[in-house]
Amino acid sequence: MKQYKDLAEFALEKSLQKPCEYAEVRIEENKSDTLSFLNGKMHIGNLPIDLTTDAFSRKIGINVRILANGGIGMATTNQLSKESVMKAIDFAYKMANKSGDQRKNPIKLSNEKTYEVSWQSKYKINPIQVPLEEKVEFIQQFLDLFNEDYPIEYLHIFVLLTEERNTYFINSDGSAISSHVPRVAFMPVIIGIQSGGKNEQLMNTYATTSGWDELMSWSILNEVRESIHTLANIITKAKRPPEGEIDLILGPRVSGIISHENCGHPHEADRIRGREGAQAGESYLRQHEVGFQIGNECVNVYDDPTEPGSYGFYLYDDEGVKARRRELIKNGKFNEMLHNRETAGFYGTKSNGAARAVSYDREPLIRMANTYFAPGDFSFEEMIEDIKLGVYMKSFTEWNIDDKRLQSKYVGQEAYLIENGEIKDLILKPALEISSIGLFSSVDAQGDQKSMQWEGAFCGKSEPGQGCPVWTGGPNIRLRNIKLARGQ
Amino acid sequence: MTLDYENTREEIQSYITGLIKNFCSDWVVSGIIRDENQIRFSSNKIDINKNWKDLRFQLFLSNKRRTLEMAITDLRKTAIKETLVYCKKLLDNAKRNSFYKKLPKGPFEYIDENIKIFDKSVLELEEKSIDIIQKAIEASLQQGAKRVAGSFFFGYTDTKLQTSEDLEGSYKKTNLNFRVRAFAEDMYATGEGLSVSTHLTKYFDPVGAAEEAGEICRMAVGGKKGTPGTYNIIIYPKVSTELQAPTPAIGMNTYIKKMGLSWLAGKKEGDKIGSDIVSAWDDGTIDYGLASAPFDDEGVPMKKTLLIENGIVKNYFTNTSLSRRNAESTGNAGITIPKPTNTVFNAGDCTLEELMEISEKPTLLITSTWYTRYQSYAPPGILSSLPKDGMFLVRKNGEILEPVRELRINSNHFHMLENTLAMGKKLKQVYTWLSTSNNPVFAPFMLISDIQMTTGTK
Repeated sequence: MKQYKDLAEFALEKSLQKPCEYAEVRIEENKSDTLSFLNGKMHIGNLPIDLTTDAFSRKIGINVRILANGGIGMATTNQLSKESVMKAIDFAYKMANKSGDQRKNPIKLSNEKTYEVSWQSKYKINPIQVPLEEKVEFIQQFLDLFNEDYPIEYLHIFVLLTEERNTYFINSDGSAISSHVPRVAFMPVIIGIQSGGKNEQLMNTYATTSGWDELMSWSILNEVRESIHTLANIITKAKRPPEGEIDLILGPRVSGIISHENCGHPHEADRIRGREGAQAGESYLRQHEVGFQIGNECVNVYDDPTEPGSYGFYLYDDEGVKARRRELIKNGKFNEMLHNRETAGFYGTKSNGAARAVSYDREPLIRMANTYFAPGDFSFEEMIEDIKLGVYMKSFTEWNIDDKRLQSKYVGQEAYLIENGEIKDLILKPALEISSIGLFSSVDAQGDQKSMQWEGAFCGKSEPGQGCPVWTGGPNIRLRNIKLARGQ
Repeated sequence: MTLDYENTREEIQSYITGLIKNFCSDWVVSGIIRDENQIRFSSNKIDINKNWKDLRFQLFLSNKRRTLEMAITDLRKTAIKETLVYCKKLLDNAKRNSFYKKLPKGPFEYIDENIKIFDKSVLELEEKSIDIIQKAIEASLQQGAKRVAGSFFFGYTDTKLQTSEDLEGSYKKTNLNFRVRAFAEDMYATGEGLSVSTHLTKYFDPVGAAEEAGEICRMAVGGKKGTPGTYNIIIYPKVSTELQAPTPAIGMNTYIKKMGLSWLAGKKEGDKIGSDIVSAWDDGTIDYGLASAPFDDEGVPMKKTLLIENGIVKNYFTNTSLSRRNAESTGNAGITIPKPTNTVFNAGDCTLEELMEISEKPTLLITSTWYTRYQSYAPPGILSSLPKDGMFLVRKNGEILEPVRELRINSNHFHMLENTLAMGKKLKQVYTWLSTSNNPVFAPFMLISDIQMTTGTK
């Protein structure tokens, strides 16, 4: 990126020659190599699912954002000449001005501290530099699992995504920030099918910014091997879920996705203000003030970009604000929104560093990083010991939530009956259909630090879409007095 | 600006093809210039006004039946050379792609001047775009909305394709994509409208879309939590992108079917998958279609392919390599994985009012859904999907009884195709944000019977 610092400075200097309130320039380079095996067949190219725009790509470009006359204009180009950059600046300024004319109240950004800093995630081996042969060898171990005899058939997809993101950011306040983050994500998708059509699907994401060596140190192979057997057992042995009111234990994968969907998204200040109204939606918290009691006092949900090695790791956001942990729900109360400089300016507060973009041609938006249920102090045994009739939903398959982030559904994948304090049979597709408030108000216990787990994910938001790398996490959590539905 | 990019494209495309000839037997290089704008607005005000100007190269490379796809937007020659050296290394170490056979040889005749996909006036829209938005906001407010949000994309792409089989073609295409959402004070009272086209004066009606959004929003005020149960549903055209179009647009992709990842796995041509009144095409030649073009990613002319006729599977869409022996490509490359163009359903003969009148069971009018998720992609593709904007209970005589909310669709694509009872008489092109089918769809209103609706228990 060094060779483009001059161009960025040129762009900022020229932007500031316009009568504007604020200007920023981001030069960003993205490399992506996504190797996949579909039913054992190697595929080097785009997939029919939108994980990234381009599975294999080399991108670089410049993004200029200008606040003038109370409006914002943004222009991007990958022609890195002064002439092209000048055209981008002219456009951004002109359109900011015109947008400002249409607004009655001008956009104001929060005042923030400035930084001149260079940061990166800590790693030993950059995943994108790992030779193809080594990546193939890694995936081959998983393909070999299907050489064994099983009582059912399997379809399988293994996706190995390696990326590198380098940025240089400067703004009119005086910040100048360089970053370097390599990422790796491994995604097994396995569908077990019994003759006759009964089937079950699992999809996990193991992801980190701590390098290839970190991913290799995880016991993923054992976990996938176990999952293959579990899928067969679910299909051949699982029984109907219980009816009536029960107690429910949700495993870390489920508590993690809930922390993201039912808490993280509705706490995004752009949704609360309505800026995502036509895209990702608004938030039920629009009707409530900070301090509103969302759930039981034991519930704490946080989002922390600074978690070392996390898939959503960053130290400074894409508006140059220093990252910190955000305490979204604290003691069951609506405690803090996720902010960028625009929403912080509107609410008269400081940004908490939640502005993220996924490439040079995307605007920084309010995004989660690593969202999680904070652990409590219950062991698993303590959580189930007084449950007479209950369900342990260890993982999930189908899920969705409305665009106000209030009405949600999670269908269990690996799930067990609990009777008189003991784990019993596998049960088939128990469905939790519940409001966010109903859910958080039903939580009465959280597992201890030992049960805490993280899962990688791509959070979708905005238009054009930005699939943002995140972790979701949590311990086991217990919900009381829940009525389950049965998935189809 | 266009000329700058055209010159750069010529120079770089020539540089790339010169290098890849040294290590690839088969190759395709597409240089794509984009000049696109987006204006986003919310709470009746413009939030941001954006412009993208870029040049990207999409490469398909093959040697000894090893294949890869690579996108390059880093235009530095040193970076390009480095990337292509890396591509050679990847190809040398890749496994053979047993699905890949060859690139099409041609010659083909491209009929770009006959497909209506380029409108010069879109290029001159910049100054007028804010007026369009202002008028749309006002139209929605007049219908009863309190707040209006939306997005307006407009711009053009200019594509030049070259292949190792001496195919060469280029085309210019414009696009207009306007979407608006109206909100009332009542959190659940929302409405959405959209309008998409390639031409400013053909089927592009942002004010009409905004009026529709405002009207749905106003009608949804005061709705009650719905009662779970089995209903007939009448869906707006855009709902098809979630509930009906995924079958022709995803399930009928040859590659996905071969992999067993389609809920149509095991279904052959001639098998019945839907009711007699459902027919669907993949049509890359339809005028004003956002996915229409003279040729696909490997240079085969786009076509109109009948996929479902009167509920019976007729074809799966494909590229050259995955087409059957002695059969032609349907013009749907993706070179390794085919992709849909525009999905087109047949029209029926009912107005919306008539659909409401003929439905004999309790009926819900569903104006939009989102967040469709599957328990498994294997048959039958069990899913749930969430109605997002105004949803209305319809009285047996066809009148709207009351707005309802907080109900979730639980079904599968077979059930919905088989239970399609009637189609509306007018097709509308829809292309919605984050939709499941992820391609433009021409669909009418549809009446579907016996859909299970559930709601939260707490």
